[in-house]
Amino acid sequence: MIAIIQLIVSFLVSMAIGWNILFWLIRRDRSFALPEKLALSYIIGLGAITLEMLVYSLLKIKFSIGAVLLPWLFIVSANFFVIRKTAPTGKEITKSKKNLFDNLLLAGISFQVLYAFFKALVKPEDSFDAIGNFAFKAKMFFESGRIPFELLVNKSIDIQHGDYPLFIPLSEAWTYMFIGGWNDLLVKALFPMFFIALLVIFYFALRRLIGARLALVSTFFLAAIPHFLNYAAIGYADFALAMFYSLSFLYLFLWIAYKRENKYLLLAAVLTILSVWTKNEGALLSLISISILILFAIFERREMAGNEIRGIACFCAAVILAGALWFTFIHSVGLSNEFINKDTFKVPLAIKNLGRIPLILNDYQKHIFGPKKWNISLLVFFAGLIMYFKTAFKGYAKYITLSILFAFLGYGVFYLFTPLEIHYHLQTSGSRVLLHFLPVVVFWIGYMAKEILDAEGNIHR
Amino acid sequence: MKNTKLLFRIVFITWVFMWLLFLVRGMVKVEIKDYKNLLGKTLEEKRAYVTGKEFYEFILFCEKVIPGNATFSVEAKYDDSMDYFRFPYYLYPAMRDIDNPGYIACYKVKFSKDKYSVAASLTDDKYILKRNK
Repeated sequence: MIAIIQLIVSFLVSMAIGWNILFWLIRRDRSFALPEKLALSYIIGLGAITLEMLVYSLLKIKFSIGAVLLPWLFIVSANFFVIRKTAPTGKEITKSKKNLFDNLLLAGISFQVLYAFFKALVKPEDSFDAIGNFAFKAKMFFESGRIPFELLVNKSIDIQHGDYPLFIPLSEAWTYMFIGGWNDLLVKALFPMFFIALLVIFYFALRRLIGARLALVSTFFLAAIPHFLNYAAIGYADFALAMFYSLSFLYLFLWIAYKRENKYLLLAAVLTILSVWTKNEGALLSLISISILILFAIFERREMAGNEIRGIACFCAAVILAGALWFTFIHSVGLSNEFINKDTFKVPLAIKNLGRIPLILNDYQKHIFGPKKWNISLLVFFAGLIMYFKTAFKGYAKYITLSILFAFLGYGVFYLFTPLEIHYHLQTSGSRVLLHFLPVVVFWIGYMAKEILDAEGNIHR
Repeated sequence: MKNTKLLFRIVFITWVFMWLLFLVRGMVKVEIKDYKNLLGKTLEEKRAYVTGKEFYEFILFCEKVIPGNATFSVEAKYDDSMDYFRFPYYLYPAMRDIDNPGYIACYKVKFSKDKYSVAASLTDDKYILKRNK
């Protein structure tokens, strides 16, 4: 029981730290609902703490709760005075009236959340990458009180994926610090917490664009995807990456299509950087966000103000700088990625592997027609894309469509470079990589529904 | 407009149907059996269940014999390829050292090596070798 309280305290502390960061990003903006602010605080707070732990490790400062919290005491105190002098801005969200249908959807989402917690907490860590990679590193970081990079590069210890970003292992080590020991059952609560955070932010972000009803239906759709629920309970970094990338894309899109206010772009930048800090695939996904912004700048150049161009430049510079810092650092300690590295990342090799394309497409096809994992999400996306092709590439919708197609394409290209046997690699990672942008696919479905209904409403008016 | 709304309704109903179908199917086929075996168990018992009782018994045996500051390697006939990763995970702070281990955990194999002698054994094919001084 005490361990559960300590676990909850760890969540609250992460949230409190995140709350103070969020204040600098959005100030006292009332257009963000309280649940959205709390969910953002939790994930941003945890991201900041893990980055701080990396810095501590480089400075040879041992991990402890006190040491990690020390700089935040100054920031929290400073914020305390600044917050009082900061006037609230933005319009408060009006509560929508809920009918029976809405309540049923809410009940379905709540069931999925509770079931995610149950699934995570009934079984200790025991999935492949959790044991071989994330949870093992977490135990090591916690017990040694630092990140022992010398062990990560030592080939005879054979630690899996030494080069992987450290958000998940450090988040788990941080949780162990509160629990006061290695507990690979309770630590799994981190993942359903991500599930809640993602669903809450997803709903409120969509609500601004497509209204409360469609946002709720879309959130329910997302929660009701079996593969999505499973990954919220097994201790893999893929779920955290899906959360950071998809939410960063949503805020990026809000900036593009809803209001060109810096707060959305700032949030998108922070979440994109955290996606790079979660998994190497985050680098590919951040390139997609950058590409979308560049395309947006090209398509809308006539209507764009100077500060908007500067905003896009700052976003790209911040994300590229953060990624470059991480990969340069990893390279400097002697680590490199086993799939994409200077030996494998060669165009002639990819050309030689073009024969893999039918296999990759076949794997995609299995997922599209695989309701056991994906419900009908991918099927609806591709059917919708064919049926409403023009709408999908019209107005702002084209940026969502392109981001999804770029993600399919990006991962397809990745499989042209991989040195692993292609059948094996597709079988072991194919479904995980599609998960990374699954919430964007569901967002597309909700957004397209709104566009189609609006267009038909205009015709009939 | 009517057709579009009908299409949306079909999508919604199919989505809910698939959700319930695979939720119940997953529970009935696999998960309920797991939950029955896991609920009410201690953390140690849960670890024994997910890794396999025989394997976990050997892990506990290794924990007793191999000191935390020592290095080890494993010679094993793995029932599950994940066992390769479970050894370093559970035995940490003892570290795997493939090239120069202080101890060799032998699991379901008969293995011997020069300059190593049996430090402790659980059964005929489950024992730990220690490097001679």
